[in-house]
Amino acid sequence: MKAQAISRSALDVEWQRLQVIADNLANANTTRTAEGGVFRPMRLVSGPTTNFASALRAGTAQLSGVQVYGVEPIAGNVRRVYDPADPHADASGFVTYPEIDRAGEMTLMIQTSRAYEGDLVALNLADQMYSKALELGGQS
Amino acid sequence: MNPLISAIVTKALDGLSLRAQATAQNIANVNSQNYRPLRVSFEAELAAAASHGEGAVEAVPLHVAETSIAPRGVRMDLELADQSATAMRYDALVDLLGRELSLDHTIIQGGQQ
Repeated sequence: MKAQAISRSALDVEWQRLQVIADNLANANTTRTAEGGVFRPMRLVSGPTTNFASALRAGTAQLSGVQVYGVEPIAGNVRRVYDPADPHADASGFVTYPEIDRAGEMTLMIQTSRAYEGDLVALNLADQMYSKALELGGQS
Repeated sequence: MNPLISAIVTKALDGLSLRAQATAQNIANVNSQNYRPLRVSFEAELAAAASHGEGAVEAVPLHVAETSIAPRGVRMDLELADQSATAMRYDALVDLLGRELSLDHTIIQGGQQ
């Protein structure tokens, strides 16, 4: 796999991670999901790409980029607020909100954004190398 | 062109290209848990092979290896510095090869002005 493809796979993963974080923050005040339950904050799990082809080639197998392993719910509590007037209140008058770690989400968002920037820089450097190699043999 | 120089430069370009891929892989996995950064080594072996002629240079292997000690994740700044240095050395070598080729071009065209 070439350097540009590796950086591209990382851009994709970080972008998806950002979407998951945005989804968690956006649903901080969600009292009920479309399926009916309480919203669970999610976390994207990623790691080096492993596939059949790369497992066969042991030598350069590790240069395979990065991939999303899955989007898993994070263990966490719910926040119950007494508000009998709310249409989503249960029989005892409580509304259930997800307990979202906002500071944690923001920290992860900055980390993700930095990783994305780093991948872009790496991609630009790879571009620079390839375009330089294309100059070979040109008459100056 | 001196075939030994051509072989050395070509091998070094291969090595630097592989290192660019390894560094890209490290930067791509900056958020991966338990990831061990990859390192590419060939310079020492290439330097040793250079005095043993063209065949030895072409036989120099390019190693990709995980760092043996488990570090605390990938250091993005150091990886980007490595990536930048790799790109610049690659540029310099391509430039060198280009100049050698243009010398050959001049020689071939000699006296046909």
